[in-house]
Amino acid sequence: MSRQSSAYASAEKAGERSLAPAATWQEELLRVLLRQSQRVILPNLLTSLVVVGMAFGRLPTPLLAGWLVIVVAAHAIRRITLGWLVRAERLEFATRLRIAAVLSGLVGISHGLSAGFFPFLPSVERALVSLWLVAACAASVVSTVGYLPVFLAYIVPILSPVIAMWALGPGIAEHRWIESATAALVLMLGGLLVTYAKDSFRLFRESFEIRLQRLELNRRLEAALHEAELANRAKTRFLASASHDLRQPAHTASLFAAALSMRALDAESREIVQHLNSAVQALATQLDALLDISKLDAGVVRPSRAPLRLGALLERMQREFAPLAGAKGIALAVSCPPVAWVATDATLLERVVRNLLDNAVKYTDTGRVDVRVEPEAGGQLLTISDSGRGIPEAEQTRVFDEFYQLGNPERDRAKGLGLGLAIVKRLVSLLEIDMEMTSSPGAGTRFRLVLPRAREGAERAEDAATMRTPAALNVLVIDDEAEVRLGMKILLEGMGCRATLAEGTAEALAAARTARPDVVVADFRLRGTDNGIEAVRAVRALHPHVPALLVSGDIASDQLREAERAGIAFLHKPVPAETLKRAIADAVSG
Amino acid sequence: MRILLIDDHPLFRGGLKYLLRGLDESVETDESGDCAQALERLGAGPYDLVLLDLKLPGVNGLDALASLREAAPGTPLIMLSGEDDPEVVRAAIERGAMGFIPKSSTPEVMIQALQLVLKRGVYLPPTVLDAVHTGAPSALPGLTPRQMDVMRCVIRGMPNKVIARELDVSEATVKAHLTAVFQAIGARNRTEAVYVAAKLGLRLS
Repeated sequence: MSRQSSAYASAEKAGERSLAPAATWQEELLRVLLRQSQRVILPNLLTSLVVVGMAFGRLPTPLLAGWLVIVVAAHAIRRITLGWLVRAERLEFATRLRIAAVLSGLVGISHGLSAGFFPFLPSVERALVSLWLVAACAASVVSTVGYLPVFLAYIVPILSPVIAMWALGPGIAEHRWIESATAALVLMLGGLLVTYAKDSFRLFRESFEIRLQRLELNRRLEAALHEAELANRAKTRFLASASHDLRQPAHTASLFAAALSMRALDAESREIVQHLNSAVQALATQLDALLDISKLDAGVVRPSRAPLRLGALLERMQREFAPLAGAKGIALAVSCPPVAWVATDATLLERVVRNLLDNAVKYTDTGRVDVRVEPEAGGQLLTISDSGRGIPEAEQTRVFDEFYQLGNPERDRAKGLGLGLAIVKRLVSLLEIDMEMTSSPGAGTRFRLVLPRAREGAERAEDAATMRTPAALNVLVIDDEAEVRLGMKILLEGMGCRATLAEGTAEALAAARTARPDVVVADFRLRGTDNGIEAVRAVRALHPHVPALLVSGDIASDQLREAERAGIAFLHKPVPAETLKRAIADAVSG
Repeated sequence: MRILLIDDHPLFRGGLKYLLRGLDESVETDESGDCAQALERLGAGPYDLVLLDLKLPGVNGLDALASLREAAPGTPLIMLSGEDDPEVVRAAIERGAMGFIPKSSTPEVMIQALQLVLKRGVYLPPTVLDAVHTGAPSALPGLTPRQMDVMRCVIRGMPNKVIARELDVSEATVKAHLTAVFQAIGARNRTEAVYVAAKLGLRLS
């Protein structure tokens, strides 16, 4: 079995090297025969030489030489003719195979002739020649892949004289029955070889069919792949142009509505513009949702992960949804540590949070929506929970399907398309964020998302801890030079504080009236007679005990004492960033 | 204030024109539908501001941006685009744009962004700003008036050579100022300086 398949495999290899894969079994068979006819030449010639050697001196030399010439000629003729037959496409396969059988018979006869030497050989040599001839017949099961006409044409002219010689030839053995038995055994072997040949040929036909099917399948698969690629490219092209061309009119309409809303309008017109505006916004939002989901499905969205401070994103979301929540009378609270850094795609995460918040506010009638961030093993846990209507158990997987909406059987388009959670599902899987939803009707819904922590975030958290700068301090900066104010703002916001700028006492007071500063940083020299100590005193008249720092390049000692008496810390210009941070932290904590 | 609007959709230009006029009556606008015409107009008259759509017929938007910057290196240019991919925003800023307004912004945000731009401020989409983190500034006091001048120029997208000509100093001086400015505001390069300016609501007037 294994020998048969290896003979077949090598034929296949030979075919691939020189020709296209065979389309019919006949063509394939001819190729196998050619390859095998080449392969058996050398062993057969060597064996023939050994036979001649054994018979040398017992038979006339010209006779032996003549036989050798016949064997060589038979092999040569078969090899050359088969080489031509493989390419002789004008001939019918039946004809070509008949010729192949004749060629096989020719070689068979040339080998079989050696049985004629038997009467002149001693018993050992006679047995050896028989052994060679029988072995050659057994091997031809493989070399003819068991194709009966070719196989029989080879073995019949060999085995018949062998059997005849053992059965009828002059006896040399002491017991005549041994020779008769040998003849019978060879005959039996011949019969056995014929059954093997039949099996072998069936196997050859089957494996050839399988290979044909495999080639056909491959071809179809390639065609299907090519088609899919073309379709995918067309889809991507469509999406690209759709996102531009379909959204363009929406953007334009939005612009006109905005322009109109800025004109002097009577109350009724103003209301119309507002309706127009919200319709355009709804259109744009729905178009975006539709395109988002198509893009996600087409696999053209590639997330770009970078460190992101969650706090900033959530604060912005809070500002965006506060009016909506306020109008419904729902509390919207965000709690997030200032140093919660995560590694994700800011734009895509924002879409996730926006869609979740949009649903939370939309489906909550009373109570609250809470957004909370807590550090967790492996990342930051973002929880968005509401006290809304909740989702019945049976609906909990369906809400992630496209165009599925709870409580909107009339499919009111003002409530959106029902794509929000479908988009969220795709986005979190794209961003590799673990998300789980728990919900019960009447009690509300909670989404928990585990966001991967940014490596840099950990370092930043440490920075913040060692610097002891309480984040989100409101710092009132008083300086008469715009450049210094700007520098201060850059520095303070870099520390995570909020900076309010004032050029003198008057502006400082105005700013302090709107919001109480956590700390005041004033330059000593201000415009005219104005100075930092006066400014701090004025602010403290409004908000007693506000911590303050005085910054100056030069200050007289009595003024310095005055600052000390007023409890204002003093810093010399230029102030290194580190020093300023520490001084602010000290002032606030002291 | 003279503004050149470059967008291949006449209706969008129309809406933008109305909106800008509504925000500031002194605004005068010229319009171009493609890059070649825009280059021609830009060569003809000085403009205070260019508003450019990222998608124009026949050219890559970023290439168009580069050639417009080259044609008028002193004129600040703001991108207006249907896209708001942070990579695209960064690419635009790197090629000399001074700001980026997504067309998908709500009318309120669009009005705020244009107001800021008319007051020569730097606007970038908030999502983009969240994701960007710049280093901490080194020391106070912040910047000298000269350094502020250099920073305004560089944020507008002017090449060093143009800044040197504008401020009548050598290019080496401009480079020295820039090093100090970037260090002071905690930016490593011009692109980061634009992000810092947008974060701080810096005005360049």
